[in-house]
Amino acid sequence: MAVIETRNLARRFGRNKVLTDVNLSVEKGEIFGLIGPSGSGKSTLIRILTGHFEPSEGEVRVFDQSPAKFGPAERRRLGFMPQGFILYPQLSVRRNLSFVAGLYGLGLFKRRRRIREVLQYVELWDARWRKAAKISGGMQKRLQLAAAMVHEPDILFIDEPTANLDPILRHKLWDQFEHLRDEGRTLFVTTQYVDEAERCDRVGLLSGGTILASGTPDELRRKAFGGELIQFTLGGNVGDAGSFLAALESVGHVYEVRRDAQNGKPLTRARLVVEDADTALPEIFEILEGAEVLSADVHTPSFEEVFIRLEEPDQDSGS
Amino acid sequence: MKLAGASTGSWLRIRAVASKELGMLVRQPRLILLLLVGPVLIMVIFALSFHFQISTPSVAVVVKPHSQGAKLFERFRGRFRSQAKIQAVTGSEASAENLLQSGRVDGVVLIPPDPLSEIKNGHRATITVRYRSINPLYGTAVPNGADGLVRELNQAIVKKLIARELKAVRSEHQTLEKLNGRLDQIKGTAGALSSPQARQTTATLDNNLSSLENSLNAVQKYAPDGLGNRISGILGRVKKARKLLDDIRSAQNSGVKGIEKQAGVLKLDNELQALQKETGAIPKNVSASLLVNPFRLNLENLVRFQPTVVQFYAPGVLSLLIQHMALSLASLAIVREYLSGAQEFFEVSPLGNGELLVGKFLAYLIATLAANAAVAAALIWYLHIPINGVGLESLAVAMVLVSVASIGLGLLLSTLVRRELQAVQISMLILIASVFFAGFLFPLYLTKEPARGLSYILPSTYGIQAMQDAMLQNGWLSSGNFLGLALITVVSLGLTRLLIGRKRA
Repeated sequence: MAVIETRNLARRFGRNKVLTDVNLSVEKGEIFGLIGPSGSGKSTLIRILTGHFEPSEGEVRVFDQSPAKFGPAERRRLGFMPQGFILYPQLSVRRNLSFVAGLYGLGLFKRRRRIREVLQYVELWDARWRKAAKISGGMQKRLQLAAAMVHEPDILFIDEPTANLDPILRHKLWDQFEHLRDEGRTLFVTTQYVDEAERCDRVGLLSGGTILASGTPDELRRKAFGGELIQFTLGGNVGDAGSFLAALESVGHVYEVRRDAQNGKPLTRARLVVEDADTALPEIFEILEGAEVLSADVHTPSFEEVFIRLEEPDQDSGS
Repeated sequence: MKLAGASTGSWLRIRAVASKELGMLVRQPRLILLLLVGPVLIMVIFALSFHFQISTPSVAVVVKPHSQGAKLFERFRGRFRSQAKIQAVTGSEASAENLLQSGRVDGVVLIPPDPLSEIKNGHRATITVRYRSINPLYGTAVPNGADGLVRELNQAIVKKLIARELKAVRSEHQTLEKLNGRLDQIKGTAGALSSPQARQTTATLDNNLSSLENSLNAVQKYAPDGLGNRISGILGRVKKARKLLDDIRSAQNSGVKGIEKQAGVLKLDNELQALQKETGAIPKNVSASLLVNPFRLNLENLVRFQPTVVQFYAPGVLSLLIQHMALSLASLAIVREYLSGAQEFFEVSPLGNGELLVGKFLAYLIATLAANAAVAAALIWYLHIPINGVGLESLAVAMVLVSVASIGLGLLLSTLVRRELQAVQISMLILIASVFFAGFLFPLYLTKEPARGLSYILPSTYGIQAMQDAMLQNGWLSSGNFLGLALITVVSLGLTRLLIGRKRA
């Protein structure tokens, strides 16, 4: 069941069109990662989904309603973790959380219980009396996550949570997101770290205000390269290697052929795109019989590669 | 060499910092504008609109119709007008008091019904002037005017010279009495008339008559009509007596026969006796100072308590403190949330704009009132301000209203500015403007329109008056001050609500 849906959504600021023709669907209980470079329109999209902006064109539905028309009841179902630290540095960790819990109408008893739970969850319980100004950047991120989830929202909008964090903290935060997903919450996470797409259930790639592709990480990989990749290295002279590569074209699409040398011996490296690596491999080895196969394995491209590939205007894998 | 290199390096670093700072300043024209133009503009408006003229007070005159006092008032009405605007002339003291209480006149002048009889009986006639003023510096228009009026009246009725010359006349009268005694001895023996003693007596008498004549001439110049006629009569006798004396002195010198001389002496004796009688008719009981100042001023300030300068300024200080604190806190309220990004967070949450405003409003109200209640208590205690009952209740209401209006104004300011620094600067400018235009240093009437319009949008314009009424007069808040503060609150909060909604859209 889709809890977030956009159809042909566009947003303009004056003459500047920030988002164009955005079509998204986010299912309940999944982590949807919106990945794109800085300035691609991620924050604007999150602001439209939370009702801060209205779309200039198209339609947006959250809980099957327009978020701009949300009342307090619908807003209680949303959690929001902004990119920067927006809580109050002069207040203690606990006082900040108490304030946010108050905004969401949590009564005193429930508030105390929830504050304890979420602070323990984000591992800030011991720092609860410290001023927010006196805790580290990573702790501030976790405090904001606690603030976003203190009222147990159904959807969490998380805007670039891992920006400027070290890899260990990023990893920890994603563990917490996954845990929240496992509790049945929906998470809409924006990030500019393409590798974080691996941690998402589904991903939308946003560039220049347009969704380039969306789907599961594997779907995106397939979309980027037209199938699965098998990477191999052949020895022997260049002519023989070329003949084998030509023969492989019957199984899939050969690309990125590079001639090399090792210890004075020639090498030929190439990638083969096939529909399904498991079914294609026996056929490949059959074709390569007699060839000097130095290595052959299924290659999982990084999301960076996928993103670059998808962003290229011409996705001809043979190029 | 090393030292020169270090110094060059240091200079380069200093130049880099200075260049960066200047570059930043140049790129903040609004900051420069606020820092420079703001205070200058306030000073210019103040200089152009301030006129140091204590306005002529308006008064109600109480005088019994058709009485001697009424005639006196009509005769000297022009002199009254030079000191005050006469709003009403009435026989009823109560109705005049009502006009004073309601603020329609600045003072009430009570003219005695029969002032001349009082003077004749040796008493000064008292003109009573009542007014209401707590301002020890600028609240002196009525007493100053009253003082000027009585002085003019006194000058108009009797000049100082009258008193001085009348004193001289009386002195001559006593001398005449003595000389008369000597003449009685001389006229017994004709031969004695040419004696050295007689010559001495006639010479002294001649001097005295001459001196008397001069005095009477001076008095006659300034004396009112009735007294003037009498002086003319006395002068005639003096001249006649001097002529007779001249004859006798000539006879003394030429040795004329005794009988003739005796007849001359007898005539002189008769004239002198008549002169003595007439100069004696000038009232002895009326003192010279009474004749110089026949009217006495009785000033009555009807205010409950006449404060010292420090006490007078205490309510103003309190009002400005409340306004500044409330306005400064509130002016940062919205802009801070926008700058930190918290506003975006609020907009995702169920928190409505109205709830946000009310929440902030309550917090600043509590903080401002708590802090300033302590200030008010300290001022009252330290300056011995005799406030109680209604005054305390009124002060509390005024403090709440000034706080509420100032917070409203501050919140509006907070939606208009783009940076926290701008909010702080504008708050300071409002404080400076309040010192000049809200009636703190100078009364409002010293500021001309249209600059006075600025006063009406400052909460302290109403707050200072309201707190003066409460603290110094134990009086209740006036409806004008209440309405002014209420209007500022409603308008500023309404605009704030509107602007926050627009910002979001």
